[in-house]
Amino acid sequence: MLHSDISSHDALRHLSRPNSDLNLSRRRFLQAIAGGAGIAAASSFLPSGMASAVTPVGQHEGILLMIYLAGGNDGLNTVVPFGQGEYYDNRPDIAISSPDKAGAVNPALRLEGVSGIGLHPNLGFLQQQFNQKQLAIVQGVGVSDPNFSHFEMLARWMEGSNNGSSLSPTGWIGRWLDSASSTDLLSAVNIGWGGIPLHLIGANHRAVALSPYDSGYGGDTEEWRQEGYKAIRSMATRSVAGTWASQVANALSDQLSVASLVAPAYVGLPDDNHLRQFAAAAGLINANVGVRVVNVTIGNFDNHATELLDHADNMKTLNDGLQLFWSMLSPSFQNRTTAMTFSEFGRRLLGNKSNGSDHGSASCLFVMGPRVNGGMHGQYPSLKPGDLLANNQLRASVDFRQVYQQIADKWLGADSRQLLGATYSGLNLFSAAPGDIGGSPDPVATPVIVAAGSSFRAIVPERILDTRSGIGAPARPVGPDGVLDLAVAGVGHVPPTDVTAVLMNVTATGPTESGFLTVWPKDAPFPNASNLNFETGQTVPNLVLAKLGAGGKVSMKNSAGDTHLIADVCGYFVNKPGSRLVPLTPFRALDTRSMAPGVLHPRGVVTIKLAAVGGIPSSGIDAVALNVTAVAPTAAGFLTVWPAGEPMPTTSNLNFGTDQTVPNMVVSKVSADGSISVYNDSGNTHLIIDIVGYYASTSGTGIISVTPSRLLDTRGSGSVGENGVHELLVAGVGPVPVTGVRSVMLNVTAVAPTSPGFVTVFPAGADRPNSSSLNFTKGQTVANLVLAKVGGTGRVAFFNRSGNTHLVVDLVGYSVD
Amino acid sequence: MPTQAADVAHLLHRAWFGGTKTQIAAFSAMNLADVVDAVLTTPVAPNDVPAPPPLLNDGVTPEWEQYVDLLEWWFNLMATSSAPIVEKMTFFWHGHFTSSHSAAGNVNWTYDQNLLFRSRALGDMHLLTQEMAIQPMMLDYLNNRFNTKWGAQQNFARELMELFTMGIGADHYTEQDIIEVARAWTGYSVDWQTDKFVFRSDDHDNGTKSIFGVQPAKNWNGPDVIDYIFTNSDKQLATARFMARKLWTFFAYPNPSETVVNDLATVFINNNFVVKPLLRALFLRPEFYSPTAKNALVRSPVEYMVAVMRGLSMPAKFIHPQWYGERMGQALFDPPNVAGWKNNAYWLTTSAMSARADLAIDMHWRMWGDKNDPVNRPNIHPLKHLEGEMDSRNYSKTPTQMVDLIESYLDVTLGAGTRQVLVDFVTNTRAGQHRWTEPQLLVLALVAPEFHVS
Repeated sequence: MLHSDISSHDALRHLSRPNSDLNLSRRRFLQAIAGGAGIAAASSFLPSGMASAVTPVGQHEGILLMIYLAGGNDGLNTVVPFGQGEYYDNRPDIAISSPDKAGAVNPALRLEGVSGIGLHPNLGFLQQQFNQKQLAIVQGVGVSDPNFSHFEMLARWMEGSNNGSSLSPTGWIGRWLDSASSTDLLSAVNIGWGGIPLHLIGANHRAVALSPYDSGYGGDTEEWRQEGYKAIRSMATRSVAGTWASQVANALSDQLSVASLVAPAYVGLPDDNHLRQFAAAAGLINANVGVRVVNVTIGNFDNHATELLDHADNMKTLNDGLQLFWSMLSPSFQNRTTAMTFSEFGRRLLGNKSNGSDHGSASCLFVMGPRVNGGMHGQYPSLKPGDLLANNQLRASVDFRQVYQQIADKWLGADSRQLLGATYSGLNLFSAAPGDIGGSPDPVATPVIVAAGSSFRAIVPERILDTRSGIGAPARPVGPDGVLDLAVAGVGHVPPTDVTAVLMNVTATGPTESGFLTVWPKDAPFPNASNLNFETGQTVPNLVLAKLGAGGKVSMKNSAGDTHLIADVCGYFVNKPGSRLVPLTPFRALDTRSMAPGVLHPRGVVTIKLAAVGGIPSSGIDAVALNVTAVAPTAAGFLTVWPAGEPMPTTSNLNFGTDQTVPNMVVSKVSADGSISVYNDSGNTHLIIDIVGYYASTSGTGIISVTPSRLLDTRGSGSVGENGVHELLVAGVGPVPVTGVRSVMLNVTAVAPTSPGFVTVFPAGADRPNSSSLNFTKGQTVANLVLAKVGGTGRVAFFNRSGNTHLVVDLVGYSVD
Repeated sequence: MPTQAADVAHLLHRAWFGGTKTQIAAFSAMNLADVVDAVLTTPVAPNDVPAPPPLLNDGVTPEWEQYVDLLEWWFNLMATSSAPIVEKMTFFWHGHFTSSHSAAGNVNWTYDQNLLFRSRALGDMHLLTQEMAIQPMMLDYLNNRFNTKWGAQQNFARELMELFTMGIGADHYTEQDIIEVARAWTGYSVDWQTDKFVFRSDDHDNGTKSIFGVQPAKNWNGPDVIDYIFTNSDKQLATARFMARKLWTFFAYPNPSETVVNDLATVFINNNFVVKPLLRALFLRPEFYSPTAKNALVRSPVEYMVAVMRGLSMPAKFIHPQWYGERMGQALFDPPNVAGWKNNAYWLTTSAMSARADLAIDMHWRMWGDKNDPVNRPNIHPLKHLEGEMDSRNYSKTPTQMVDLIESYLDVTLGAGTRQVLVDFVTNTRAGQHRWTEPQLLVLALVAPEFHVS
């Protein structure tokens, strides 16, 4: 109980209590890394040094997503008692219609096996999860002696203590942090910009705050920034007058530590302010940086007026947010994760005449996840006048601490008596422990429609790097292990801001040794991935989907020898409305070995109309994605692809040596009638064009480019044999969402093939198309960027035509429905 | 008897947004009572209104830009006003009688409310409470515009007592009082056509109400309730104590002693709830100058941004308060809820500190820009001194002198530890002849812990 003379300000301080030992968690963090690389290493901020600072969540440790419904959620309009006539008597203006009423508009959603109680019409995902036994609805939850002040009640919910108990004003999750033996920097996270809410504050530990937008200050690697970080860390180790000044220094120092750890969670988030919190929450868990509790806040639920509209929006946010969260959460975390909602109170039964409802008492809450004991829990409060509390308020059947008891004991592995200061029992909200086999099947979330991903802007190709002539970098080859940072944003027709990624054709020429090239976002950790492979003296191109890093740059690293590098950019991605990708099952649009105009002669040009071909619509397309192959050229040369009718650019798409069959993916803008031209520089060559997708403003999905990561390397597991098909699961792997993924951008490398041949990548389950994604000769290691439509099982298939070959597959991007 | 310079600087940081070296020197020669009187001096005409923001109501500017304009207008006033105490109290009232611009979406209401807070900044709180209650901004924010006898709406009634005057307390008011006070406030609404206050007698409940146990029950109206709170001896004591505690926390430190609260409450009551005598008493308390008070408050984001503006002679438009305020956790005109902002630990989250560091980085880019381009860059005198070294790399000033220089501009006293880090930074990076040494020194000073407390 708060002191009777308490001011609101004191109540609020209660809710964000100054923590007398705020820096403890930080100290733990420093100790953790001191055991490994030491504090100096932390200052230099090597990503590898950071890894030791957090402990991945154990296979049987529970993870909790808390959703605070700010302002007091109206339980009566969330879990609707349509079977109780008093509901409609008291709420003529704001009631949700009964599904039993003929012709009802937007009635409550029915729940399987439950009569007279339904869900708000915007809670379709929750209805589905309930029917799959993955949603527990706790009815009539509250306190026996309700108070109607937001702050008083919020303080009680967040403290989680008994009224009048002697527990210190800490939060119940905060006390769990204090009690846990292995608390990390990121054990508890609050997503938001305000203070840390009380429930996440303990006596010795508290949650870390993360922005809903980015990982924040501290992740850059330029020398001047690094020297600054070092000084900031140093300031935090010096004594400074006053409690608060030292805590300022610690908070900033913590931010430096957090920034690069959590960066992977901030990829491909939706624009909506609320939804992106849910997406970031899933990303944080997927990042496997020791996150056990994530808190997000949505609302305003204080719907004193125009409730039907505002509350419905809130319900939609909750529904879509949960759906997005589960769809983005990696499968490996799903059965270790539970989500719960809470709010300070419900609303009064009697509606007010502002078409809203005033502060109330008992309400409902949701607990959701694959290990939850799905169904109804507690009793729905009776709405009969004789059963109500004073002032038309609902009587609680469940004390909210009974819910906490279940979460603490069954999910967080804590001792609820210690956290709550008393023994609670009576609920049974879980069917199995975290990570255990059993319980319900894992959730099958349906696809979520969010404006995720970037749209594509095709441009006529422009050369932004040529180390032979000093374009974009000094005129000298890149040496062994040499890293070249290439400015992309603001160069040529690529805008200086808002660009998330570019498509560029990267060519290695004149390498002095066999090796490979890796392209990745500047300042991101160096990935285990490659983009193109070359042998001594060869000229090898490959299209690269390059996510931009710090300063709008990408980094390129050459593995061995000296080589010149060329980069031609053919388009860029922005997080704005525009052209989006429609992936197609590959379709062979041209094969000059069997089709007109036959073999291409030196300096010959072929123009082909692709509109209305192979799934491409007849109009409205901005660019096409093609796999272009030069077959058996009679001399070394190159091909250039560009929109028909425009001046030919001085760039190249693929290079070949005599008799070398070379494929490359090409994304090209098209002319107004949907045509492209292909120029052959020298020698006679055959040409194959396979359509793999197109970009249009009216349909399609955005591309989410990611730092490359390796999905498959058969060198550890055995090669793919002749006519063999290897199916690869991509949905739910790494950053790719479990559901809704439509295509993936892969860099596919054939390693040491035993005979000449080709690989076809296609949607698993579909008929294998008459096309090729990658061609090679015996012993040649060849890479190509492949846009692969994903099959119904969330997989893509790789077909190897002849001989045995190893396959290495790196993920560089994906698109979702 | 002269006043210690440290005490003057402390007072000016708290009562104002900081003082200049000249002001501190002048005040130090005076005795404390005279200093406090000078600090509390407001313009001769208390209703003297500063020129309105230039884009307001020009008929063409979109609402968001008008909002940004209003923000910049107020930030500039806070940084440069000749009566900073008025701006500080306007800021206080904004966090006290909260309402939200993003909820109302009416720049004129926001502006009008701000003018009201400014006109009564150090004046009569009883009058101010009556006036703010019937401004469209408040009527909209707490939904009283929908409060009618056909269905009372408790939002304003509850917060009027819980957050604006008495605070929670069993002997202050009961749940039944809230229901009855809501009835008293029925009919006070906003006209849909004019967007002005309107009293709709048809919607007003003229029945008898039993409020605060006053017998016999009578036909209270809304303002009657406020009058009662400020005149009944029990209610006014509760209100005066509530406000004394809140103002002390705002200006001095949290958790004042009961003696301080009771003494200041008495002053407030004896002066009929006029704020200025209360502040005079507050700033004359020895506790205000105690070690407990010094550096006991974390600068709120607004205070931090104003300190940056003052330190670098930077007008508000270069600070982008519309972006950084929200990211630091304090969007001016848009408090997170009806209780306003909290303090100290509330500001110290990793994400909020990240935003403060980003603002510092933003400021340092000004040293790299075209120095002769007045559009991209104001004439930033303090930066020029740093830039001399940055451009020439002659290093005519020692690292220590560089740190002294920046300390003086930013009106901050750095501790020995922080100073050493900055001096080492300059010394070490100068060896590399980097042009970024001086700009990065600015960043480090702006994120130094001492600059975030007052």
